[in-house]
Amino acid sequence: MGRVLSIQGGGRRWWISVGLLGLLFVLLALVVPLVVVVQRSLDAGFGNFADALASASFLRSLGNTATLAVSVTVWSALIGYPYAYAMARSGRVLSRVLMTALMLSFWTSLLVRSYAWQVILNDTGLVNELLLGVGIIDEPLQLIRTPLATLIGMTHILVPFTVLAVYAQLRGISPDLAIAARGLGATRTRAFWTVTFPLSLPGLAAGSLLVFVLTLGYYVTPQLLGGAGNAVIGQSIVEQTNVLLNTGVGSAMAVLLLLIVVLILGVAARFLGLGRVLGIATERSAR
Amino acid sequence: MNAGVSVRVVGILIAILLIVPTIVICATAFTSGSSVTFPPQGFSLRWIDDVLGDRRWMRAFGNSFSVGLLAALFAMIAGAALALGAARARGAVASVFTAVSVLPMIVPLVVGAIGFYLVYARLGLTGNVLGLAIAHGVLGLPYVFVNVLALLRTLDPRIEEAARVHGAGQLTTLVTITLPLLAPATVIGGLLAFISSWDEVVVATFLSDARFQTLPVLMYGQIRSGVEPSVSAVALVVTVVTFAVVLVVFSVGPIRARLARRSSRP
Amino acid sequence: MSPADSRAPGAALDIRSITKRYGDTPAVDAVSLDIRAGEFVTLLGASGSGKTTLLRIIAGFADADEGSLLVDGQELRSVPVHRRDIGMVFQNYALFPHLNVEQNVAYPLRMRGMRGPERRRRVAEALEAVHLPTFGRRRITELSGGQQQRVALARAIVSRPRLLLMDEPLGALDRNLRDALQLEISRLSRELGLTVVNVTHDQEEALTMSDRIALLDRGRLVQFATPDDLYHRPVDDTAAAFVGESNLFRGSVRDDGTLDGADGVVFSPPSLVDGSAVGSGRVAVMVRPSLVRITAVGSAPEAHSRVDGHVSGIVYAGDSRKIIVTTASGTELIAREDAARPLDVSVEQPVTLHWDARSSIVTRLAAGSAGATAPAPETRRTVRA
Repeated sequence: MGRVLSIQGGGRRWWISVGLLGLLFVLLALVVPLVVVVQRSLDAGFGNFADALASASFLRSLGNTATLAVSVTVWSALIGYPYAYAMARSGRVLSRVLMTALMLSFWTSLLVRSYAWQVILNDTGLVNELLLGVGIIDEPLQLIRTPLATLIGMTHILVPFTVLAVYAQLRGISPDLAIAARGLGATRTRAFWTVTFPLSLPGLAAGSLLVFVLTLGYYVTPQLLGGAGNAVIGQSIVEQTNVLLNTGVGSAMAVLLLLIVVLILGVAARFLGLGRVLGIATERSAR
Repeated sequence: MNAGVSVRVVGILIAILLIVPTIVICATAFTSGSSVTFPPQGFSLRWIDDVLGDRRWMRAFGNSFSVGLLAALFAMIAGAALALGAARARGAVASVFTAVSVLPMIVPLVVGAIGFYLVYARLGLTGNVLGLAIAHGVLGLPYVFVNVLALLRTLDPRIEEAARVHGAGQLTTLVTITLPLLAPATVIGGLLAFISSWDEVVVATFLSDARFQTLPVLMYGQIRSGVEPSVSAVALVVTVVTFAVVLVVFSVGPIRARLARRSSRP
Repeated sequence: MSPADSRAPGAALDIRSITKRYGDTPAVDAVSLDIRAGEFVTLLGASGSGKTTLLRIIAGFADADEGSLLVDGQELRSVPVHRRDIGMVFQNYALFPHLNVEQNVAYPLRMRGMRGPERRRRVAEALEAVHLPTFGRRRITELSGGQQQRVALARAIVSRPRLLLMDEPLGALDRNLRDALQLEISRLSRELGLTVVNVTHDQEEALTMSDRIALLDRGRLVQFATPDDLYHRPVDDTAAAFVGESNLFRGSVRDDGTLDGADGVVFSPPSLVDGSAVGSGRVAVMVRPSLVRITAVGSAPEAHSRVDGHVSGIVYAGDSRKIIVTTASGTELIAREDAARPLDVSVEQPVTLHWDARSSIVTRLAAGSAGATAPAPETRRTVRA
């Protein structure tokens, strides 16, 4: 029947022309600008790339970005997994409360959240006031403009992606499986580690990958929370283009960043399916 | 099997950590003092009054709103068109439509921002609503695409066939049947595109100038030049508008899962 | 619709060797049907028979690879879907969920540029015709399945199309509703003089509603005939097996006209046919279960054809009772009798099945039919795919 109902030649051409309308918009609005970036990066042959890769500050920002991305991903997994588990495996009330808290945070503008962490972590901020008040420290800790501040802010902003990916996966696993395992004599902990956890790994992997890739492109949060010595790629690029007005080298750096992202997603698509990572079901079984 | 007590406690603690920043900002907006401290000193609406009475902030508010609406419109048109193409073409063509539609999600904003700047500056599309709306429109397009595609998958093709057989040409069918049926998903996608434009800083910074600034751009500048309670008041306004739109999205339909589709980026 | 308006009769539809292939397999294989104006024709077949594909080709949703479709002598294949002047009823109604009942019914008129009081009058008439005169302002979601199908019917007839197509129109409804709507659709189509092409896999529906039935099997036209002919004079074993319940014996005719491979059946008279009448020597003999009698072994009338076996099951189905008899070679045959009659056999009891010679219908074997390679007699129950 599916074959009988499928769209025939003339009808398909019509829908393709409808799609082309949207395609044209993306081409003009986004693809052309990207092509121009690539073009600009090559305006001195590979000189811009050579300059970029010879720049100590750029190389340092690459290292900083990699470190940051790994840390944010790991912390997001450590914090996000139990949260998703509590959300998926509790009563309705708690489950709702946790989901609401997650959404409140998720939907707060990331600029607002970065600003909030600045307020919380600065010398007279909530954390220092608390620690001083309790008497653990005698003078304010330097929290703001440190890699730690960037890590906290970024993790806070990105952990919802891990939570939602793991949560979606856990919801697909019947709780009966773990109950069955317990019925066969496994302890609660053992049932979790041998049954539920392995089954939830695809969700964790998809969420973590998304967090990792998103971290690579961040600019605002590291700029507001991080120190001068721990700039990330995004900051290097903006510095080249806006401060040093060297769009050639800036473009070369941007192209390198784009390549890294595309490469990682390309490899991930092989193993996880890009659709899962981007939250789009690209398999088209319906037709 | 339900989560144990310890997992629940951990969950609640993390929930508190998740919402603390939002609460801190909202609270500091109501301070009566002249510095941003938490807990705030006293309670007053003076900073909020300040912001609402400040022409600079209000102009930025208007800019952000116009850009957001126009961007949502672009995203809705192009996103729905691409979703229709992706769902109803086949093979390589369908893959191209899908790839193009997720591209804006993949490109890091910094990279996109440079490209927009290089091209749009030459076309006179910087420092005005239109240029930024085009850029934000293409960045918000995936929200519309994903939502419309999901609805298309559940749409009975025979409804459109019924229109065709009863005398409607292809364009007429699209306008009188298909688009109205896709409207809920398109609007939800459009609202999400609005929000993503509403609080976007990086591209907006590249495409703005001294006379044309959006709320996030102005706020970003303020934060960098020094924290004061009026920034918290602006942050509160930004957050309230966002939450209001999100509430609409939640109540429009049981498409809650779609909310997870939002990608938040610098 | 008022009777005065209803004289506009449907068109004649001449389907000429329409073929549609998907890859190498033909979904519709050189099917020709000459449908008269005002005729109610049903395309009957199991799933995969090509009936839906043929209907979609007529509607214009699919294009044929070969053949032609002539409506009142005019080629339809080159006419785009929306200009074919067709009304159509879909299995799952396919109503426009964002429009109310009135707007749904008005849609075909709107598309034809009709507006104002004329349009309102026609919509009201159509709703009247399907007995929903007061439902105009209702939302589609407020209607029951039966009401939705009535609205779909009103939408399909409101523009008085040259052709009314129906794709399993009653498939989603329950038994009682189906019976009521069957009668109503028949009545309406006759009153309006519509030419109807209906698709179904339900033989009962086909037999009840149609002037003629086109039986399709694996893309090919098996038989195009009135319900009566199809039931009593099936052209081959496929038709015999598909329409109604039947006991079938497949074998080949010897020179003297007797059947070889008849599996213990004693035909009376032994000579069934002169072989030339069937063409090849391979035939199927069909006996309707309702014409088969059951009796104690040895007491069948001499003039009757008969076969021995034992009762292997007794199944009640409403007013009738089905007695399943297994022959010595393991073949199951069916005798159907009035359930009101006292039951005089029991399971495991040896019996003889017998029937009047005139009840045996000899048909040819369809090319590629199961019986053509395995000539064992076979019984099939009513097919409801």
